[in-house]
Amino acid sequence: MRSNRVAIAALLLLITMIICAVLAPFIVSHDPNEQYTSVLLSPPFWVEGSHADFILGTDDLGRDMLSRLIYGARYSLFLGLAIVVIALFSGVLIGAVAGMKRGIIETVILRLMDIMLAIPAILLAIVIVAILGASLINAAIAVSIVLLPHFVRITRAAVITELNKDYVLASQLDGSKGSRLFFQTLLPNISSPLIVQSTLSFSNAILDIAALGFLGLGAQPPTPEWGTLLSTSREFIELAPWTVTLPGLAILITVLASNLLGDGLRDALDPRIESST
Amino acid sequence: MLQILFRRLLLVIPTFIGIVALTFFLIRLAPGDPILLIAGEHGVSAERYAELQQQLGYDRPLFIQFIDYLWQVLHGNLGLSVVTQTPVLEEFTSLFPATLELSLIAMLLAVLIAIPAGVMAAVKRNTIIDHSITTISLIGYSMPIFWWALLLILLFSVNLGWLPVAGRLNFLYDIEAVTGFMLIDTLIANDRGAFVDALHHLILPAIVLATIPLAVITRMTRSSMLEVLRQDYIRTARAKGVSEFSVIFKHALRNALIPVITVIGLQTSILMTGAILTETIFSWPGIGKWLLEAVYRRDYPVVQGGVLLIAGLVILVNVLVDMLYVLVNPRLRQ
Repeated sequence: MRSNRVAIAALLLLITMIICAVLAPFIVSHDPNEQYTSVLLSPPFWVEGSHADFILGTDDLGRDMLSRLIYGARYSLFLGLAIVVIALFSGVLIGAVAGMKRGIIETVILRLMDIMLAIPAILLAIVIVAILGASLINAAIAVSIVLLPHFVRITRAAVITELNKDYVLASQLDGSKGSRLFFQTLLPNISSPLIVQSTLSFSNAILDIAALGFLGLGAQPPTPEWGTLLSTSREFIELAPWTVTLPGLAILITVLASNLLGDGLRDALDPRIESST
Repeated sequence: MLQILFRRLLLVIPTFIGIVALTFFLIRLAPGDPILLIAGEHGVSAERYAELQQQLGYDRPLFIQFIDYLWQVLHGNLGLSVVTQTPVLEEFTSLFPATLELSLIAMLLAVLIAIPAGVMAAVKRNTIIDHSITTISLIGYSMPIFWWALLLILLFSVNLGWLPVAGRLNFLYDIEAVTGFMLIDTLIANDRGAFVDALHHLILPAIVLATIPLAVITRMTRSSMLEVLRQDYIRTARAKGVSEFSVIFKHALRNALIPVITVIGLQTSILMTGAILTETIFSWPGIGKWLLEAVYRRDYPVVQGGVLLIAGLVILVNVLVDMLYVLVNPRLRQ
């Protein structure tokens, strides 16, 4: 029960963040790229010498940190969602083909996924970005490719288990086959592990996008993506520590919330695993 | 058992060839003409271009080029770095000990803390101790480690001035590289000051690199321990009057550790990912930093060879873990 409450709190937090991100232009009082040159590196409100107009302070170019963080949420959250949707859809399709066709197609798909999993996630993403060129969209493509194998494996394993069950046989005798059998009969019954994996992939996507941004391979300045914010403010760590602590805190809170939600969903959707909390 | 291992080893071969193919064709997709890259910015005449093309084998069909590359890889030839003109394998082997030393220390740190913490959380289930350990490990699991590194630098290097920010050793010390492990080399050189300095340089990167494995292993130990503690044989042991200490550490932990070993093995991939970020932030002269710099410089032979070697390493460790799993699990031994 405790785990459920925590998961619901995490879900509410994520929803609030998404609403803030969507409504960013109506919430923030400053343009995220506007440079107030008279208030460079102004500290946040809890530090002495802060400026009343900039409650979370400003960065080295006098841009409002709060506005940049809220606009940054757009990149992290929406890209995270987009990445998971792409990885989920393509992963489910490939996994379904592997699980239903079996034979040589299945072997080839599984070996290919093994290969992708043997290359450390960030490294594979870095190589893909290096080839496609450093940009936010390419980073998103790279991360969805990296997350793909997990969905393929889960879908295939689930399809194979379900195919042996009576209700599937009944549906097959009724003339259902191919994509109709999969989408109408199988998919609703294998959705639990996919939902859990999607939530956990969401947190991985946010972390990976931020890491690529931090390495200069994702979003490019002045885009206020959280990882990019961290990499540009890194040199001011001594002078203005808040420009480093705040974007990282935003990443941590988002990832933590989505992991809590994932854990809660797993406990709720998978009765076989006894609650771990 | 031997049959299982043999089949496992056989599966490695197509996976490895697949990785060679993946890196080979991925790099071919990269923008820019590799010949123009080698020839330099000033451009080349048509004759010189054709000559280079023939010399590098780019005039042959792609598939033949791949077979040739695969043949070269199997003979340990991964090509030359475009930037330094040094063999890729040579650069890798000279930098690898730095990464290995950091990874081993980080892993040691993670295992030494994670297993007791996981056992403690399971034994004291649903107490404040359990909740604290679970919460901390979930935070660690969600941590963007590049930010965590900056926070530690801010606290221990900038504010307190206790630990160095970058590198493996103060440049005042000149230590001969015998093993490539700084801690061992400084001991061989019998330089106490250098040893302490090397240790100081290791602390922050090792903590950063250990964070994710620490969280993952703690969570795994806890849930595996909870699983085992529910079993009938544990109840039997307790009913027999075996002391609680003995029940936990002799009866339960030994079985609980079996899945934990697999999870520890699976951390290699996470360590390599972490090494790229950690080494870049701490200017640690290892393969993670080397590979990222190669990406920035578009030094494709290094990227290609480096990815191949790291993937090979991950596969190798996974096979070793599988073997270890068979060895420690008596049910698979017969």
